[in-house]
Amino acid sequence: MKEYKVDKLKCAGCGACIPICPHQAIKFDNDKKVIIDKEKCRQCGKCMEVCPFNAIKYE
Amino acid sequence: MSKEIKKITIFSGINKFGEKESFNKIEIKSGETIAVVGPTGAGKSQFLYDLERLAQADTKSKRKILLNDKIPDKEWKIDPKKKLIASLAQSMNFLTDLPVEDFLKLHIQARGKVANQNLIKEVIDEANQITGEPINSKMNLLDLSGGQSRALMISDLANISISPIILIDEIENAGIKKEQAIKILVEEGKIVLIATHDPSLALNTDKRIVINNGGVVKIIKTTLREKGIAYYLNWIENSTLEVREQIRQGKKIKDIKLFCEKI
Repeated sequence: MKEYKVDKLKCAGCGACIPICPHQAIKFDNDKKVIIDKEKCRQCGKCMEVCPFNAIKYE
Repeated sequence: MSKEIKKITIFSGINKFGEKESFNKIEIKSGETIAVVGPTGAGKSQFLYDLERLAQADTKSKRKILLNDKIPDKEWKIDPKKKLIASLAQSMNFLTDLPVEDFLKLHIQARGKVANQNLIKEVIDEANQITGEPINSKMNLLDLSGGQSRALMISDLANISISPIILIDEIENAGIKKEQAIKILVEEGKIVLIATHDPSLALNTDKRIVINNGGVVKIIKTTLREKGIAYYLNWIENSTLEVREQIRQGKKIKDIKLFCEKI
């Protein structure tokens, strides 16, 4: 099944995706980049749309 | 009164060549933020002026403004107590020789509200969320820096002024947290229009009205991606502001927050 994933090389850690997520599924990881909680993610795709760096992929 | 203005409608006029503008009407709803963008001299200030004047085809652009689908009452233009529209420009400064606290008290009373300490404190606290240089209630208005003055004016507009519509002309270089300033105004249900060249400010809105040669040429709805870009730009600018403040206070700079730690 496809899922939303963060490309850690592209993520700048700005956190723009965090307040956009309607399900609070995104948070900062220990490396200060973001991580998506697969349990909470409902695949709305807003994070991918908002990311200034195209760091979120759906695959 | 803030609650009474639910909608502004702008009917198109003409550009500087006398040609009709490229829209029929623009509707702006309560709580919306609109950027007015375009090259220098394109007519951004005229657009804000038409709103401030509540133009009825009586300015050079021939635009017409309706409030809640009606032609606005004339008294709204004249009576300062009913002041519908408040403006904020880069060059504005306080000219009153008073401590912050006393000025706020006077302003609150002039607006017919009770000047309790809580409200005064709230205005100063919110101003301090906008500026990096803390303001305290005993400071004299004349001693405030440009950033502190601007922050206090914005917090005053949000919390004390009854004007439901706020027009802002070029606040980009004021040394304040702009997105926080806009947030505070919008949270109070104000309609905010900002003429700006600043990318993060222009993208941190609901729509932007593009002006050229004296006329509106385009109305662009802000995309989610653009909001993400604005978020990132704001983040960089706030980091810059923080370093600037540390330099101002004579500190050494050890590091810069490269990553946003919390929201």
